[in-house]
Amino acid sequence: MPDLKWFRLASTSEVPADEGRGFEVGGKRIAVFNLGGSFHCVSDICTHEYALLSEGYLDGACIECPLHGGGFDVRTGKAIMAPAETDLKTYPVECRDGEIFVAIEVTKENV
Amino acid sequence: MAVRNYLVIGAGKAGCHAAETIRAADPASTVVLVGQEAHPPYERPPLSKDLLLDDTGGIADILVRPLRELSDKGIDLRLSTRVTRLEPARHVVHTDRGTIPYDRVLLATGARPRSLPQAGMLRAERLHHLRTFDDAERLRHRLRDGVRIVVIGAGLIGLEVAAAARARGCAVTVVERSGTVASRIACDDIAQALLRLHRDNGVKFLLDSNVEAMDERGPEVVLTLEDGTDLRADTVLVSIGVEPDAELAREAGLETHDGVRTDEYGRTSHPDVFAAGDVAASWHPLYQRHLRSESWQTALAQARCVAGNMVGTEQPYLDIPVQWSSQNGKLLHCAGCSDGCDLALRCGDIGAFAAAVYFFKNQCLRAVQGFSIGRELRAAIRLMSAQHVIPLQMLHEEFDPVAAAKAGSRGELACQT
Repeated sequence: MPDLKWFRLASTSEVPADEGRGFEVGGKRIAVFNLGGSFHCVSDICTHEYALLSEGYLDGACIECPLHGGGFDVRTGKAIMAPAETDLKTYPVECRDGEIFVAIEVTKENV
Repeated sequence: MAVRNYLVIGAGKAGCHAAETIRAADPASTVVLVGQEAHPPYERPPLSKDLLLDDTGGIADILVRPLRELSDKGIDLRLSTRVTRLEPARHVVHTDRGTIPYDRVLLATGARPRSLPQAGMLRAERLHHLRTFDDAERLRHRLRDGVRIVVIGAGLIGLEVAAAARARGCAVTVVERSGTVASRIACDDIAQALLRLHRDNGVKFLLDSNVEAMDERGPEVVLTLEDGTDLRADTVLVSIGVEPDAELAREAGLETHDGVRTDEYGRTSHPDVFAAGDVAASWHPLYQRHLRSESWQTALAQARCVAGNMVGTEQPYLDIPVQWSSQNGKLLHCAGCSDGCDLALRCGDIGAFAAAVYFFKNQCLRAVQGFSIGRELRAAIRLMSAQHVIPLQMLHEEFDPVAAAKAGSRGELACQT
């Protein structure tokens, strides 16, 4: 298991219910989605072609890519709608005192 | 159930996805995928964009699937094979490499570029069309710094090539018969924005202009316009649209009209012959007419749906047609059909290429066209599919399809019956 490092992403009030926001932290583009008060972090970059999922349309737990409409379950990262075929990477997320934290593998770049 | 023999004619994107779908749904069957080109199935969108810019780009970069994957799945891919005749009654097709029997066949033959009779005298090296990977490579070799290119036809392909040619340092003139650009898919606001985008990029436009004659004089081509003007060029691209490749169906006596006519399941007038992708003019229950959509998304989703129906799923294809185009870094999306609409709402800042035009009929969203719309497009597609009736108080210049779609999924909007 690679070492994980926790990064502050945003305060919970910056990500309204049933919406998502994109951030660049620890050398990664991370999207965080608020499903009725429960926060989920996945890679912000669509696995099909380069596009930011945080700019897509969130329908329930499914984020639809703004570019070609591929869909992923933001809770599991699973590709659930064509043309997406490869699952998204998910990241551990924790909320403390109204702040959202995400755990990212330690690399040379983000130590 | 007896082993069934499926045949897919046309090894483009639609054919490839159809073959995969059939194989996954009926693993005991045989699946033959026949293509006229020498290349395995590849993605066409890059042909008029990235592939024209990147001298190192090859077919391997744009394959729909790695070649091994198709053979691993047991798909019998036969390239460089031309189907010459379809005999629905005998369930057999003839090719230039022998006959192939089938139980069910899919026509995914796509479309071919229209040609211009006036261009008949030009040598191949000066005259280009753009449909295949080989076409794109040939064109790319010609797009060099200082080369003068005349693009005939200001549709999406013509405009995308104009952008690529400028990026490669060419002098670009676009000659267009109508008074506007991208007129088949874009409304006037979007067209004007595109026109400005390309003019600012140094592309010269001759609108309302017809090319009457083309001659090679020494090292250059001279194009004579209707008004007598002469244009000189090193290279000419004819991009005046495509014709569906429906000959096989027509000669076999199947119903054709601007493509191969099918019902909403993709079935042609013969129950064992199906069609999907660019070639198919399929009944669309939402629009209550036959619709032929030349789009990547149709090649993917319709092909999968129809392939499922060949195996026995019986699922109508109801997707909203979507097209996109990327020009000078601006992303244009168009979805739906705007014909017969009674309201158009212009939202956003067209000057900044962050704008959309929404078209409504009886308070139902029927089409959207816009730049830099991602979330809005996805929400709009949902509204169109569900035929939600949008409350009048939402129909203003700040129309928000995301808010409307969310209201729709909460059950707050009625649906048109």
